[in-house]
Amino acid sequence: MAASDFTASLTPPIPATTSAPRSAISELLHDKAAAIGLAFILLIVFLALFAPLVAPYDPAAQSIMARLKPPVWMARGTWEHLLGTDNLGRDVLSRIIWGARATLTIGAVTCLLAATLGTVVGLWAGFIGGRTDSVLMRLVDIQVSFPGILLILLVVAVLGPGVWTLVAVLSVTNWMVYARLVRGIVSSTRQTPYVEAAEVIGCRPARVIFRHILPNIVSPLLTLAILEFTNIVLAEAAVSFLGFGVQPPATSWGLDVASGRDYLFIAWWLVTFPGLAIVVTVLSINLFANWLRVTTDPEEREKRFARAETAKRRRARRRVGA
Amino acid sequence: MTAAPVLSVSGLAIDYELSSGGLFRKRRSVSAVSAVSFELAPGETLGLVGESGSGKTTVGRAVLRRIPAAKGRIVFDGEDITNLQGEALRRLRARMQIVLQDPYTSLNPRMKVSSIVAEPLIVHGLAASAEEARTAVAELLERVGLPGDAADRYPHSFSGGQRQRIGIARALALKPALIVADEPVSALDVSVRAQVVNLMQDLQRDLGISYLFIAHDLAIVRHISHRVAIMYAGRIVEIAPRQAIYERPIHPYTEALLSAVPVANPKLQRARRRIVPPGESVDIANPPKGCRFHPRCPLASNRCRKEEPQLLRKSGDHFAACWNRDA
Amino acid sequence: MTMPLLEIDNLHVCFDTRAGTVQALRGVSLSVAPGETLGIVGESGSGKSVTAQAVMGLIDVPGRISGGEILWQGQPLAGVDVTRAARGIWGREITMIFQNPMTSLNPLMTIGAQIAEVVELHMGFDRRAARQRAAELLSAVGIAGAERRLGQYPHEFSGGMRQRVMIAMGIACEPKLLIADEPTTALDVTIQAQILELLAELQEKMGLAIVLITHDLGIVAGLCHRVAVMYAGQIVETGPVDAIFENPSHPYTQGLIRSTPGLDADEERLTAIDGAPPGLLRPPSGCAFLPRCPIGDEGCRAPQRLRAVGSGTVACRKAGEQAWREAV
Repeated sequence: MAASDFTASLTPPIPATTSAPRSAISELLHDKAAAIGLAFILLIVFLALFAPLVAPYDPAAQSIMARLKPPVWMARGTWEHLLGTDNLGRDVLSRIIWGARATLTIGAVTCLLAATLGTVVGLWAGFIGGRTDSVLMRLVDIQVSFPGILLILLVVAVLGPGVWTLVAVLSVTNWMVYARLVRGIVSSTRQTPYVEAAEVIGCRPARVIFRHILPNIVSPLLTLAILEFTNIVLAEAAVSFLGFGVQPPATSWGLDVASGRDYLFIAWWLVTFPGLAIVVTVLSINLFANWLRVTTDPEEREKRFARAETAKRRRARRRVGA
Repeated sequence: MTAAPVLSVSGLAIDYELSSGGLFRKRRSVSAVSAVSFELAPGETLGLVGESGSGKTTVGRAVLRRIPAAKGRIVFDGEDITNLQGEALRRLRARMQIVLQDPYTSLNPRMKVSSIVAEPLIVHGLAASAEEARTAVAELLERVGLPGDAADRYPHSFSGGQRQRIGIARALALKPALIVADEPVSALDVSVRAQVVNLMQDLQRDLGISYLFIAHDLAIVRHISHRVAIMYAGRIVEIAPRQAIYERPIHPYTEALLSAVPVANPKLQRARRRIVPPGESVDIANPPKGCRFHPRCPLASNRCRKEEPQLLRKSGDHFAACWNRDA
Repeated sequence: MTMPLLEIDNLHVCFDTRAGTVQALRGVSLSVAPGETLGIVGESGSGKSVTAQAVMGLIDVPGRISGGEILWQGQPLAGVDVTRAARGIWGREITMIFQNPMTSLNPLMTIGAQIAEVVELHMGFDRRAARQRAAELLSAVGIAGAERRLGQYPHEFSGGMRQRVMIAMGIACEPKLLIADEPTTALDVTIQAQILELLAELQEKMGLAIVLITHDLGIVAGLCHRVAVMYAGQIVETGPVDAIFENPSHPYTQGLIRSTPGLDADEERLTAIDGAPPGLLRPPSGCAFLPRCPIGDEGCRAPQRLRAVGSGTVACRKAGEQAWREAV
């Protein structure tokens, strides 16, 4: 009983205030890694949105005169191409900025499609239960055990490569994790007394789902989608690297890494910068998502707060001692 | 009890699913409850008492049509509701309601109290306008003794007892004839328990509601019930007006149960003769043959081991299922 | 009077939450003599479980001891700065059993191995002797066929049997003090009666001191010698069990006893204590029961200290006055 019972008896005094967003921001600033992560994510999104205005050059513009220029801080580097140029004289920085557009679009659309599909299946399985549930979840198992990359290659071989093929295929190979999550939450929420009360009152199933069950899914789903986003970015990079994804003259980070690999030993920057963009983006998202996960879980949030308090007190005591 | 009963349950049997039948699995089920019969008059409270696994909650859920009956009939207000489906079942919900045990989980934490209490009115189309719903909610909250500003707050800002009042207000919204109260006070603190019990009694007196009061606390049941049914391992073993049950119990199980309840009086408690039945409650998946209580019963005879006793009239309104005891 | 086994002196425990600091214990002082059974009664949030956790050194983030200390046979055991790594005391001289026997046992180990582990760890028995001792313990707590049951896993035991196993582990090292936190709340009435009988019997045989934490006055009446009543993180009344029940002095104790329905009474209406306990984020400095007390007045806004009244102690300036009218 103790702890949980305790928090239960203590939660009442917390008023549902309007200052919630402000306190969330101050909590975010306390977690340096997450704050930097979020800042970086916002930067990338900004660059992607305003690529035409921000990018110094057209990413496809070739210039024979300026082939394989190194970044500005190297001996032969120039201020005209901050991160150097590739074998066709295209500006690497501009390509990264435009590549962010493709990468983020593919990631966002795929996440949205996969999450929608997964949520529908999960809701269906969790709410109906019984045999429907077993059949749907076995479908999920089968899909999970099927190697994703093989499916991608098959579909691309049939439909031909392209951005929208990629989105479709990645959605089809990534919805299962959402289905499992949603189904788990739905079937446990279904057992909660307030859902039972809603049914006894005479709520129709649609009302029970949308009013009483769905709100519980939003925050875990959001956290999962953000984490999954990184998987999509990596998958897109891998598929584009293999030559089945984004096709030139369009660009994406994965494609840039792929086309730069032939010059790895004479122009390391071609692979390094787009590669770095992928790594840093994925890392930022993970840092931020981890913070978000803790923040949306009241219990975890309390624990984090208490740990910070304890640390503060210990430091204060040490200062007094010294 | 001359009036027609609000609720009449006869020969009710309920099977409990051990596994719900997966893709390659067969459904397996055991009999959780069988041969349960009772009646409930308008404005009456029937206490349904038993230990865990006795099937008391299951009976309550079956009456509310939350779980299907395998056998038997449930008649509510003169209408056979045993097999009601769809829209008819939904309309029935307006006339029988539930009050749940845990005040912390029985209210949706994301809804304001006003929405929680108004929800039954909305889903049954009983509130024509938002204004009308607001008035109705205000009346209900006042009725259950909550402050006027409660409507605009969320459940977490209330104490356990207040939350239970909100749950009762929600159940009252549809003016039900019957409320199934499933351990409504057992999660509450002692000092608050009395408040809620008193409220339930006031409401019954003023509105003529019948209660099926499911509980394991014999003292509270004695206080609130007019009649009491004792359940053991899926059977009603004794049913009688409360005074008869508490002062002249017939079934050995009832006797043991009463003697096991600790009394808040040290001298009395030390002096009481306790009949602690040895062993534990029956595993309903493998019930013993004959009377289900016989392995723990001091009076068990050969007949008890072979034949299951029926619930028989022993005197007046007093029914018990025991071969060896009469009133 | 002999030296008390356990002494709690002006103990304060806080919990840091985002909403502020919750003062779970606000100056609790208690003592337990060898061989006595002390009942701690209170409602949820009153601090009765936190008291037990503090004694067992189980207060952890977000909680902390912010004042006072706990003495074991005169030696400091826990306090603001000291939390003695008292392996030899916790689990050996003081043991604890919990409300939920389902979650307190390791589902992957046999019952025998779990009991033997305790004995090996604290008593230095070798494996065979430990096994032997485990079997003795199981019979001591009334589990038939001990030898066979040692090899079984927790899921093969019912709730009551698991609580018996917990008790066996609790008494395995012949402790001086057993803390039982709501030991029968999760059990059925008939099983509860069996467990309480077992505890009473063990206490008599082993001369064990027991601290029994419960919200059920009936259990206290049957088993305890002395009672401490807690409200909102403080002790409001202590005394011998007969005195507390026959002649409660604090209005809260009176109300608690009055609002507990009896089995024999046919009263039509229960006496209810209006309102609810105060939140402990900003507890009142005076009597915490004042808002619910029928006889409280302005003078009760000053802090109330425990003072000796009759055979016990009470924290109320109007101690002894009848707070509640006779039931109508």
